[in-house]
Amino acid sequence: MQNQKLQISNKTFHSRLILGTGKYSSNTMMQEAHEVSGTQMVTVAIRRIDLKAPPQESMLSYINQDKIALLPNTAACFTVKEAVQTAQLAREALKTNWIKLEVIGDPKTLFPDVAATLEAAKILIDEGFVVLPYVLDDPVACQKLEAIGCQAVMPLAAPIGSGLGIRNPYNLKIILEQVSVPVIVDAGVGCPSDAARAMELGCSALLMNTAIAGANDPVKMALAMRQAVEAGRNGFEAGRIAKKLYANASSPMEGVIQP
Amino acid sequence: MDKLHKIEIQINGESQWLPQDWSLQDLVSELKINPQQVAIAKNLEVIVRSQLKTTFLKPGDQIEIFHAVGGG
Repeated sequence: MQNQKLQISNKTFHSRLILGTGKYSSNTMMQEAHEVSGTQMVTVAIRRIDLKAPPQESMLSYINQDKIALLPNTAACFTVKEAVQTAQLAREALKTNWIKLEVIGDPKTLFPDVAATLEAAKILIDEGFVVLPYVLDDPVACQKLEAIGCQAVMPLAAPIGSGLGIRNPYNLKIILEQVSVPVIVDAGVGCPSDAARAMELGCSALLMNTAIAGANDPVKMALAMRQAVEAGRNGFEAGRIAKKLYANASSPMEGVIQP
Repeated sequence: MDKLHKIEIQINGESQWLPQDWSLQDLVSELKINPQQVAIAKNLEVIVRSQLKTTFLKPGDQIEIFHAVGGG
C-alpha cells in the first residue's frame, strides 16, 4: 500500500500537515507539537526586532530545519506594497523564496483582499518567489491565482483562528475540480474531524496554527490532527462508497434458520 | 576622518546618533545581531547581506531590522 506524496513546486512532502509557530505558551511546547505532528513545513511571521528588549533566544532555534522547511508569511499586510516588501525581507532573513502570501482586506474577519492578493502574487512570481496565497474559498480567485503561476492555492475553511470548521465544503469541491495545483486548506479548522473532512474532500494538505496552539494540550492535539489528516487522506485515496437512501445488507439474506 | 562626528538616523523608528563613517555591517555588529537571521531595509529597500559592508549610513536614513517570529 503506497501513499501519494504531496508535491509543491520542487519539494516533496510526506506530511500533509503544515503548522504555524504562533500562540504557543513556550518554544519547547511548540517544538514538541511540531515533532509529534510529523510536520515538514511551518509558517513564521516577519517583524521588526525589538531593540529595547533583552536579547532572547531565536524562536528559529526550536525548529529543526533539517526536517522542517520554513514558510514565511505576509500576515498583517493590508497592501500590495507591504506584502511584497515583507516577502523580500523574508527571503533575505530566512534564505527561502517560498512565501505564504496574505493581503488582508478587513481587520475584523481577516478575510483576504483578493484583488490585492492577485496583484502581489504577480509581482512576487515575476521576482522568482514560490507563492502560496491565502485566499477565500472562491473558485474563480483560485483559478486566477493558478493561471498567474501560484504553486498552490490556500482557501480558508473559516476565518483565521475561528475554529468554525469547513463552512463551505461545496466551494472547496469546486475548487478541487477546477485547479490542478495543490489545494491547501488554510485557516478555520477547529478539531480533528474538520481536518479529516477537508482531506476526505481531496484537499492536498492543511495549514493550521490556533487549533493546535490554542488547545488545552497542544501536543496531544498535534497528534490528533496528524491522525485525522492521515485518516482523511487515506479515506480519500481509498475512495468512499456512494451514499444510498436504503439499506444494503452486509450479511447474506439466504440460508437463515427457518422456523 | 573625524570619527567623533556623528549623524542622526532612525533605527526601527527610534532616533540614534552614530559615527558618520559607519556601514550597516558596523551597525549590526554594534547591536550584537546575527546578520544570518535578520533582514535589513534602508529607506524601505531591502539591503542584501553581501552589501552590508559597502552600504554606508547617511543622515536621515531610516533603517529597519526584521527577524522571524511566531506566526500562522
